[in-house]
Amino acid sequence: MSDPVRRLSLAGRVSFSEYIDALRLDGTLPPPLDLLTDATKSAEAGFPATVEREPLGRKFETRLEFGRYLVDRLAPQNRVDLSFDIGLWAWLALYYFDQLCPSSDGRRKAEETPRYILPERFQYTRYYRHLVRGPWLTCAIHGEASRVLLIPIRRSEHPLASVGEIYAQVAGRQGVFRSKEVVAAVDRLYFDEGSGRPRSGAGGSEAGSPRRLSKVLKQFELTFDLESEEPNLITSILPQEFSRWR
Amino acid sequence: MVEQRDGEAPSFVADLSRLAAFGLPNEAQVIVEAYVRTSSMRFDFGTIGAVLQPADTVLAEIDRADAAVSFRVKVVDSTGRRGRLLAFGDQIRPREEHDQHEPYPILPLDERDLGQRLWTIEAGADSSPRLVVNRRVPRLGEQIRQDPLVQGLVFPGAVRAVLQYLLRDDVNTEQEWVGDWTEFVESLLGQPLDRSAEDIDELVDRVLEGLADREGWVQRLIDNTAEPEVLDE
Repeated sequence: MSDPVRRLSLAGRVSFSEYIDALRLDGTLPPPLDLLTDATKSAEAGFPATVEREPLGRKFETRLEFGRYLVDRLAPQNRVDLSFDIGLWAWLALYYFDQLCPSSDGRRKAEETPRYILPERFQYTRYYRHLVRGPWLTCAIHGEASRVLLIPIRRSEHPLASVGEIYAQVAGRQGVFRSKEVVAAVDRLYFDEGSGRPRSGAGGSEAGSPRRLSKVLKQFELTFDLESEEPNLITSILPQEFSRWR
Repeated sequence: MVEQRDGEAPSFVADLSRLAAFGLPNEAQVIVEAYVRTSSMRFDFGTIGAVLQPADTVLAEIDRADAAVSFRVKVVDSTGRRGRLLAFGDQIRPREEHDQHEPYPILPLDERDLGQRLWTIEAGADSSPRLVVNRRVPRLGEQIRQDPLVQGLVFPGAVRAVLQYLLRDDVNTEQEWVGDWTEFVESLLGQPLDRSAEDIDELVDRVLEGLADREGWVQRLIDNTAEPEVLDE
């Protein structure tokens, strides 16, 4: 069943935030789903979009699938406007809360609040970790190359509940995350077409890992424009330690 | 220069006219990036041969948390090795609308919520130092700028903290702020700065003494609090 997309008002976000705080003390508390339709806590989005919790008849299997679905559902709207729509992302986080903060043995374990509710003022380091906005924005910017950031290295029972290691390494700096060339290079280096997942070993911190790549790119920023629209620029300048992935 | 209206994201105007004097190729691309910590926005300013301010320079996608925006300017090769930087300027601080004709301060002042601290120095290996004062305290920023009592209480500690960064072994001496501060310290010492001095504490004390002498905080306070002279009628 599809539901029209709404926004949590400030009062709705406060109630949702209080619930997350309470959940840390008592993991059995059920999510306040009434906020989703309570006219005093939420309002219509103002554009005609609808969503479903399990549009494929099952839960989302990857953050990539989730991100693509959201891009499709929210498509006609302006990306920049949407990306700062705090009430929208809070409403969607509550709507998908069962998949973002799943119950295990009757208890939920809440992550830090900005994973569900964006701070009122933009802070990149908190915004990129939002569990709904993150997959949507990644797919909206990077299309097919999003897969390396949004598919976990290992299959997960609750794929929407965490951001994934490669995403955490690459998306932490806005200039790197925004660069189509960088993300395309990360995809070329670490994604295994055969398994349909990032290559095993891509999650470590040793030579050639995405964690090292993040540091190496920072050094290259002094000599190259990493957002330059030059195909293969990134992979052509990487040092020897990355050769095993090429 | 950064402009901001209440409640709106700031926008900026960049004067890049002096780039032409560096002898860079006309076809080279000019990019301006605004950034706050790991958050950044990118603006295409055309080419060296035709620098063009974009119509929209609103900093809509940049952190509005608690730090000031800085800029970097990149001139990018678009003919030889594409993507290579031909020129690069970083940590460029904007001038406010009201101070565009004033020299840039050696220790810029920021105001933000510091909890129960009155002030702090923010500095790092890659960034120029800034004096941050607690905006929760009414008029503290204004007093730092104008009141010799507050200046005399805050600046020695602030300058001491900056000197600790300046004299660290790992500081990159090619950074612009290091050059500016070295020149400032040497003007107070009246001699070249010896970065390898054995007694750093003594060196710092001499700098602070020179600073106090130059600023004359005590004399300004005495002058300000002296009884007005009564003229004989």
